[in-house]
Amino acid sequence: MTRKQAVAIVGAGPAGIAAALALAEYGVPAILIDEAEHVGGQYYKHFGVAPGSSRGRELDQLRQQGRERHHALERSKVDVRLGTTVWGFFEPNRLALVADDRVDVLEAAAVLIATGAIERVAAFPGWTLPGVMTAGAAQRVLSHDGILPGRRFVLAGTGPLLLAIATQIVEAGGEVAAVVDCVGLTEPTHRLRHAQAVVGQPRRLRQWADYRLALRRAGVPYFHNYTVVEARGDGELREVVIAEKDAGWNIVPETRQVLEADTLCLHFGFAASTELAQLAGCALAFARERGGWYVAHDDGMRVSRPGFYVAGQVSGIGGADLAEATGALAGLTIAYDLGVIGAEAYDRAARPLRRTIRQGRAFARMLNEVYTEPPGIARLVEPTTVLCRCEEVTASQIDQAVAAGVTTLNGLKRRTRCGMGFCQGRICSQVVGRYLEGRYGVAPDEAGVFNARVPLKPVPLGALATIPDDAS
Amino acid sequence: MGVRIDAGDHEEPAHEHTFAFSWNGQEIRAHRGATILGALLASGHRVLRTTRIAGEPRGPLCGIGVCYECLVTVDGKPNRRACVTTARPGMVVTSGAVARADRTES
Repeated sequence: MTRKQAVAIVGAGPAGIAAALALAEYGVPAILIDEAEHVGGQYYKHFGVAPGSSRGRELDQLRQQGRERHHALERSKVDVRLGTTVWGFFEPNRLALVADDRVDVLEAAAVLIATGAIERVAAFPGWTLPGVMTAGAAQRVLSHDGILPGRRFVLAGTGPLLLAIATQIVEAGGEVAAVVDCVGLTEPTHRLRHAQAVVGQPRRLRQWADYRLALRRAGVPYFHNYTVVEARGDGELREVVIAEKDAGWNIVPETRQVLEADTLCLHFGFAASTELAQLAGCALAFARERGGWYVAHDDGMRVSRPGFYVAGQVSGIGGADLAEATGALAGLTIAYDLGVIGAEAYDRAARPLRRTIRQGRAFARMLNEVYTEPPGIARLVEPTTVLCRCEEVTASQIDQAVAAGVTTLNGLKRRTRCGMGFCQGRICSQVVGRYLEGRYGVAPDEAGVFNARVPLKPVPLGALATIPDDAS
Repeated sequence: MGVRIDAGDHEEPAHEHTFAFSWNGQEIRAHRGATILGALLASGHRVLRTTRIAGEPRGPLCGIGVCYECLVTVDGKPNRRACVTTARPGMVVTSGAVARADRTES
């Protein structure tokens, strides 16, 4: 069945929910789609969850906020479709969906892309061992399932979330052998940027201080300007090697330490999930202050393709408050573009949102520029290190392709199969991109991004047989 | 390996009911609402498959359905993501070789 007239919102995280509620307020029919079986995305995933997650003020507050959003959606006329994956886009504005192994096609009056972000990881010897996972993965099983995914943890990477998750693990009774942050706030430029950004952000300052205090009380060693060097184990993670690094990412040999651990959690900030936007032909832009590649947009969240809009992390990495403001603004703009509200009402309602967005972007800029893995992290990679996990493409295969003159992600994909596996390059685009930059000096906008292709996520063949007749 | 967290002050006694499913022929106890991944980690299983080319063991990476590292076979359907699939009573879950993404699906 093909449906018309409603606004399709892809992604039910903070941005998608805010947009849906804004549209509902103006009486615009909206369909809110998410792959998960709950609304809230990764941010409000603590809503309605298992034991263990109720510890701590912050999680309680998050749960409360998530519950409020959930109830507001239930009271609204928003059509919420959970467990539904958008796997394709067809001209002019049709989304291909799959839910419960059944395919559906949705024709939308407008499309808002609020597909969020994924955690960034880094490649180093042993990073494919079971037991090495993203910090978010550990947090998710902790919050959703009430399971600590190991007994003795090392957390490595950078950024505030690393501290938050380390704290959550400690409070849940896990042992944290070390938090290893590759950024050194001992560097004056970092300190200055940090100070500039946190002015007017007392809540965040307090939060960070709380984490540091909780970790210090638990006796968790905190290593600034250190990096994970290697993960070791026979079939599963047993040891993590860490060391201090200099500005050029040379390891300082005498600082090497071998830590016993069964779980290594990685977190290097986030990367925008731009695949659907790319498939729809929306232009991307690259800026470190936005966390890398993001979907280019105007001050009303309109993208390069008419009838399409963007909100949340995919418009630039920046956290939940910013995501909600961009979502509300996108909803407002869609209502305006559909002729539901006039210019004056639009400007009036948009003004405070734009102010919130400006402040949010300024703060996000510091986070994105300070708490990021510099290209030098590619120095951790050895020739046998796997860079594309799905297709098992090693660094030496990438080296051979580069030696043959291939320096774009799409070129490497054709030559080595990197990016052709199930994840469609979502993981290796970051890793290979960083490798190209760090080892060969290929700038990100020169390396480009993997082309998105249908299906965006694997669709069972049996489901394709259920495509409705009027969809073709 | 994994550790179940004490329910503590949680408001809803959501986990008073447990059920069983099968993992490579072994019985796994799971709590209502748990993902396959959560239940397996709680029982100490973190190697979920071996890779097609090098035969290397792999476990979960992203935990949110993006990386496809935690693929398992569920009731005969291959390549299901353990991290986003809810465990159900009597489910038969096995690890197994993963086909190429561009060749086959169930």
